[in-house]
Amino acid sequence: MTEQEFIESFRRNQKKGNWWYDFHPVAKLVFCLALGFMCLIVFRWQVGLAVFLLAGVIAVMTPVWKKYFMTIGIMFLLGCLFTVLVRLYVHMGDPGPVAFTVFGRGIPVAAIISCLDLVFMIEGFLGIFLMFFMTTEMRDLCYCLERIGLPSTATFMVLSTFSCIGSIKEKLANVRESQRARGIETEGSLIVRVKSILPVLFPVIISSMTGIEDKTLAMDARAFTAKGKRTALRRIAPARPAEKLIAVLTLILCIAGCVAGKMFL
Amino acid sequence: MKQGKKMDKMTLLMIPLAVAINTVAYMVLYSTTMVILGDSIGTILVGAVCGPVPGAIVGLLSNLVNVIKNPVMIVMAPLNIAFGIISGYLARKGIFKSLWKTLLCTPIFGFVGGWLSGTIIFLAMGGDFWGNMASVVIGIPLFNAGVPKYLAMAVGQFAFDCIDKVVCLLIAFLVIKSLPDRFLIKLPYGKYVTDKKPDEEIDI
Amino acid sequence: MGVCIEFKDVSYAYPLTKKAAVRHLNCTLETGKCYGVIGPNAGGKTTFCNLMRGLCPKFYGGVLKGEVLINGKNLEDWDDSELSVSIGYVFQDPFAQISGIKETVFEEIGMGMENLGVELEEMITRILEISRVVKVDSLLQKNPLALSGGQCQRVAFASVLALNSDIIVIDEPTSQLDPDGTNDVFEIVKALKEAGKTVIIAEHKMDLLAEYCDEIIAMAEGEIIAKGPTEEVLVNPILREKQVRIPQVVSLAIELEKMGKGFDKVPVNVQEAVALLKKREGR
Repeated sequence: MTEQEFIESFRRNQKKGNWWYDFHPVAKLVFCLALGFMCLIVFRWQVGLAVFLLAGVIAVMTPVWKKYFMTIGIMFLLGCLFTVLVRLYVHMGDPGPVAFTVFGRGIPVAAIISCLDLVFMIEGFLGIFLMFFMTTEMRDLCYCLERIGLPSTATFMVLSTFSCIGSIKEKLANVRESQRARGIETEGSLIVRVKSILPVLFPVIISSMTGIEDKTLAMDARAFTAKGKRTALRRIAPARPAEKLIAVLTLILCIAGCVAGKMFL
Repeated sequence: MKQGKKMDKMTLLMIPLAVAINTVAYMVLYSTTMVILGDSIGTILVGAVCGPVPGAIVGLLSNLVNVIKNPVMIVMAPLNIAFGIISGYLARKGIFKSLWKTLLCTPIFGFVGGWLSGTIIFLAMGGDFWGNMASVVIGIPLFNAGVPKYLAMAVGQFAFDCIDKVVCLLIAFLVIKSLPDRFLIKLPYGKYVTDKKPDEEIDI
Repeated sequence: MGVCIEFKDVSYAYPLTKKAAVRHLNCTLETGKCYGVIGPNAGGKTTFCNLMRGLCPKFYGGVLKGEVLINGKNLEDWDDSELSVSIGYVFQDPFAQISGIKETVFEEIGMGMENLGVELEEMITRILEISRVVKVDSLLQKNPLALSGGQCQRVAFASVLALNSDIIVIDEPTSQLDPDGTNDVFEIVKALKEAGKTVIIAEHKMDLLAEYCDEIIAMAEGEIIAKGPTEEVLVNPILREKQVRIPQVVSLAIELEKMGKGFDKVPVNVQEAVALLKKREGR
């Protein structure tokens, strides 16, 4: 964008033009946390499936729907499938009505339902949280949390974490190259790779930790510990009454849902 | 001269770095060995040199970073926090000044990281095995041999986590020993991991 | 011109060392001047800068004797955050001075003002003004983590200038930069001088210091061995005795003097040397 458009963007509240993206981050967090924890606490396929479907409907209304469904699919294959197979194996031959037989041993219906409970609990929990994290920038969430009282040091730690992860990965790549230049092999057989762990990991950790001194001085030079009110260049609009209502209602319904789920399902 | 404020600033910056160390250590160790996670090295380090509270914060933040990729990991938050707290308290006892004392603490971390984590997963997954190496290699064979399911799972998790934690503790110890003393004494718990003391009586 | 920084018999030793890094420092620094701090490695230049900035002993620990007065107030009585606003600090490693939590250079420069609660319109105006002075106006939309060393150093300057500190301490800012980056930094130093700021710059690049600084403070073995106007200090023989590097043109003029072919006055920078040579040639 042009410089003028760029500067003008700071004079307005930040908006992305999609209703779910622009949903107030804290209200969105409450909404997703409530639904996610209801899946976890009730642990029944009916609840998990309902939340999973809701997350899917929300995903379809956002530009990230392809990435969302791909991630959900991969997480199912990596996270759930193996556990389902292990569970079915463990419960093979258990007493009770049999759903089907494998190698002459019956897989009970109870085991199938247990696996469905697990799969939909994970997919529901995962789905609703993925919809939160894929559509909410951490800096926006941190800004909103600061507005409601979270200390700026806490939000700084959260934001700095993501930046540190990026820089340390770059450092890891550079150290790997430098060690290769010194004749330390980092690719190949298991023994070779195990031997290269310390020569690669150590310099990364030590140099990153000792570099903290300079970082601290730099933050100090930006009045990081100044007391008093803070302002922000990049702002998010306060939560609208409808957003607050949705968050609160979801929380109440989920608490009621947890109780009802535990009693009746 | 007040020293408290300056140490707070460095600790504040150590915390995100330690989370990044957890991430990168996991990338290097787990991809190579498929058994050792290494994702507690940063937590143990900060707990040892900055104290139990910063260590706990590292544990919590590390967990939150994992939650973004795999939200189910949120149930592990109390354990990651516990690693930081335990590390801080052990540092105060002078454990990190000696290699054998550091390694002897493996079962403590293994109990928290293995036994307790296994219990949480067991309960969270509806009282059954989770599909991981610990269950497959140790838990299920023990169960098939007649050991109660929960105990079989917990022993498997404990054993595997001890392997992970002995490596994490070893690396954390070696890192602490390699850090310059003039750097360590600036940190709140630096005095517990080094024998050098700032000399207030220098004649200048 | 008033005095902004005063050292009264200051000695300081870092923790875990037996020897003082600086001993018996006595000097005053006046408002609005540009001071160059020169000397061999381990001469005490960085410690001198750290003392002014209040990092010794507040950040580094150690033992301080004597008094450091900033704007008439003892260092011990300054609040950390007030001191960080009154005295700006730019140091060697350009990449360490990027916060990493802002996605554009524009926001990076504004970070300090956000911490001080400056209102939005004033922030925007100041960022645009400062970015023109330090020549990062074409980089405002870029990610600070994607910048080169020289660009990072300019952004670091901008971030510090945004706080409107009257005193700027700069510790070897060009040690990791290429010649173009070095020239950019000294252009910024010139702009700071013209804006009436007090600048203290520790550097090894003697030729550039001689061109831009009003006064030179020469340090060796932890002591101030010479202080005064640039042209007086650079010809002081004690600099050569203590192996403090001097600009090439000064060395050349001193050698010519020994051969009986000296100039009317010793030039301290290339322009002066050229003018004197032309005068000698009758041009």
